[in-house]
Amino acid sequence: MNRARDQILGAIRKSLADGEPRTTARLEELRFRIQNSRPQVQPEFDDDLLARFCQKHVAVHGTYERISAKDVESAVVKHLASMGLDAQWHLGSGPVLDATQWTDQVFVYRKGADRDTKAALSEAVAAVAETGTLVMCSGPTAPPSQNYLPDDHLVVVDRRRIVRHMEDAWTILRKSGATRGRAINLITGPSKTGDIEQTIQYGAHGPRRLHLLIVESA
Amino acid sequence: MFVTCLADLMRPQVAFAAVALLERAGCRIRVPREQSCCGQPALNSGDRASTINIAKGVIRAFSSDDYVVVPSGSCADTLINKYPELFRHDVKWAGRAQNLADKTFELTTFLVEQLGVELEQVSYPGVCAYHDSCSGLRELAIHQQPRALLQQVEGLSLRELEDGSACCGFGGLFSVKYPDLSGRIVSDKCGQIAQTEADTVLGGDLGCLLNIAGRLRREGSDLKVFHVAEVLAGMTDGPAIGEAESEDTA
Amino acid sequence: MSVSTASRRVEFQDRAKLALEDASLQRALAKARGGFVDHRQEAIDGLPEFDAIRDAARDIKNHVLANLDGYLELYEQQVIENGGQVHWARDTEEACQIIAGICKEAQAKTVTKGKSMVSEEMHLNPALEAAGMTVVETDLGEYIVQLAGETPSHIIAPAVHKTREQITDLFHEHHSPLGYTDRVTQREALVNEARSVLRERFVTADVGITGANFLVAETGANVIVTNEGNGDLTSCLPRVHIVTAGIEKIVPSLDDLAVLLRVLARSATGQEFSAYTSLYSGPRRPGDMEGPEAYHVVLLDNGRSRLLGGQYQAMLRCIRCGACLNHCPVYGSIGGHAYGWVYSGPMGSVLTPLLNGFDQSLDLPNACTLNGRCKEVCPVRIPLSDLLLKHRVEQHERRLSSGLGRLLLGTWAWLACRPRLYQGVMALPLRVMHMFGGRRGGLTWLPGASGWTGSRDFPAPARRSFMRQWQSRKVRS
Repeated sequence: MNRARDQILGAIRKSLADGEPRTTARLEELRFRIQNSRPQVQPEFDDDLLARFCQKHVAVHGTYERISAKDVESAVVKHLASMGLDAQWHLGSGPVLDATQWTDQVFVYRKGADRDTKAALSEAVAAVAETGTLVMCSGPTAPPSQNYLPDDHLVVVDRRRIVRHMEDAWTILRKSGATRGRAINLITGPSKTGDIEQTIQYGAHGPRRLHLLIVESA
Repeated sequence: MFVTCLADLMRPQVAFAAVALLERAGCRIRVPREQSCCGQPALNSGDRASTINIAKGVIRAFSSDDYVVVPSGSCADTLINKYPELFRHDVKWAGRAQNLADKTFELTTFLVEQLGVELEQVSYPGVCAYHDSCSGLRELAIHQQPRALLQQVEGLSLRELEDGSACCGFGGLFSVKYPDLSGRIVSDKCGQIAQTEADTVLGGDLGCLLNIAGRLRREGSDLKVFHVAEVLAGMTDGPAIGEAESEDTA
Repeated sequence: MSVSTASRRVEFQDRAKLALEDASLQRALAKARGGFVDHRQEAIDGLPEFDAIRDAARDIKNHVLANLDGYLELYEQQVIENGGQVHWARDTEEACQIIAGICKEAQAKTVTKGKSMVSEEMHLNPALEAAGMTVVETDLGEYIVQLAGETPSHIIAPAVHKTREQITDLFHEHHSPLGYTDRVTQREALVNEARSVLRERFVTADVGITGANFLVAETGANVIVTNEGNGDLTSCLPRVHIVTAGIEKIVPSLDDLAVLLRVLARSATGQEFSAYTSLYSGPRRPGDMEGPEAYHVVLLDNGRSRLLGGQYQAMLRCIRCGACLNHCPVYGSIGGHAYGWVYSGPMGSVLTPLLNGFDQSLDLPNACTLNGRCKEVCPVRIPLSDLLLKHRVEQHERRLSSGLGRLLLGTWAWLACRPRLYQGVMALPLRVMHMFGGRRGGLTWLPGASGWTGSRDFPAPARRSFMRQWQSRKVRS
């Protein structure tokens, strides 16, 4: 196995230059470039990030409502009821969700989703206005299966976490150490496929619907 | 003027139209006898050695002229972009190739951008679809120039093709080596032309026009096909490309 | 290598001919054609910075390729730090052995797969099936193609060649034994049925294999972009996650990734951003309640290292978006299968001879009109049509092209270098052709170009060439 590695790297070096291994100094140069990486060309757009985010989110078939932090439970219950679903869901975590006191009117399962999961409620680490994208990070109480198995995926986003560009989300992730987790899931609208006659059909393998609860700052 | 082999053999009127347009604009025209083809068939077949030989002949033939005007986007592209590339590593010829490239222009580009021509009274009563040839469009950015000139033609209205930047399937030797594919692509193109409900197809490259005209004729269509120069020069009384000759002109 | 070049030459042409005559295929292609082009154009019209971003994307890729050995080492370190393993495969056979070995060690019975062109390149599915495993493709298009016993005909739309009627038949045939006895014909119902069948596969699979759109050296993550979410279910649910990728897939940092993501979806489907873009690194972390216990990356060379530093290096920038296929008139006429290998369209015509050997696919670089639209739409600015031309030069110089063609071309070129002789010699065929075709305006049959005249007339040439007429005009004046 190591022979294959050495041969491939050797072949690359032979094609590129003299076949000599990279010196530590050259590797350090590349590492330096990574560590000091900066955003490059970015799309420009208006300053109203919330409006832009909502517009992009709706454009990819997402739905949303704006609520205050104390209304998370009632908003979730109401939304599920409108889908004909009971007040039970798989629950992820995040600052808003962790601070929410759930009443005994609802059932929350603090575990990963399974094949029959109807609904899950997660919290986004950030939301990108540029594309209407939610940034979800895996962790001990935030299992990624909740992003993909339920029919209805509900996501809480703290309004202050809406950032302009993708790179701004990276900055948040790097700072929080979330880049060290296993999964970073960028989600832009519900699941869809164009594989039959190149016509979009929603609900391919993942959630059929994606509903956001944008939580106004306290 | 660089005539191009297709205009020379297939449709001399295109070259005469180009001459007429340039002369009316006050140019003195020289047509060196030492020209045949720009070498594209060899170039596109990967035969660099032959292309280089042909290119040297072209470079020599036009070394004393101020401008070289070509009534074809793809042949102009060969002189302008491909020759300098061919001689990139040839110290002796690189400069001469670049020199030719710098003074070579496709006809409509030359008329619009170098001469700022205003056409003399010319009319063509027809609804025209314009086919942009690929090399002209993508390598030389020829798009607005022919349209600007055609706007000056009385009675002419222009229609744009849906997916206008798509290829007509000619591709030089491609159409001979892969006739089924080429035939398929040109029939799609003709379908799009039909959709415009135009009565005439215009273009700046004889290769594409022969291909399109050939297909239209086979389909039994009575659309007329002309090179843009023929319309601009008012030389549209005779048969269009691929059209039967009337008794008196034969 | 027992097949002669001559018979292989016929193969492409035969496949192309069959494709042109295949009514279902033609219906499917016609349906797909305009959509991709229009959607991409709309997406790009909405991003004034698109060209600047393309330049940046090209530069990032060039930088990585020029330092590929170093970035691979840095990437490998990160994967190991995250608790994953990196395997290196010199060729496709070695890659299959490694992957089959991992699956066997995991005592895998069912393997789910996210769409991965590099695993197609490896012919991984037959290798795993031979090792006794059930392999299930989970991208809907790829699943359809698997049921049909075919291979993808497009790198991002594997089943673009299938009509809804054909899909209905396939599902009915394969899903009836699973209890789905109703024959469903509507798009929504078809998608739902596949969702339900594959859901069962996702949750029971032992190993998940995905490709990688990118590998990020900064974090050691593989990036997978989908719209369906199948790649994520494949990555998250099974006990073992295996990632397959070509060695050229590295990007240095997350910021570099952002640049490439901005051009990828727009070029591929005309979306601003695909529904799911995920970064996975290593196995589940301590404390995680789910996720694979083991994470393997299999890096495939298979001839890529040879391309570095040479005249085809730019091809390694390819991010497999499919834009060149969608804008290619030849691809649009015959679909992907006629190309004969995994990769089709312009990028396939450049890559196939490079990875499989120049003498293996002589037609591909020639079956192109050099219209340049592929080059124009490429998000990383690969000069595809120029590279195809380089192939032709190489074929010519290695004397791989047909002898008769070379003779004719050589004779013509010899003449073309002697204009006066050329003008004299051309006068005769001109006269003959004019004689036969002048009246009608065109020839319906032309010796030596009967292919051309099979589908169109050959417009009649002039009686006398321009050069002749010009000479007499000069004499007159």
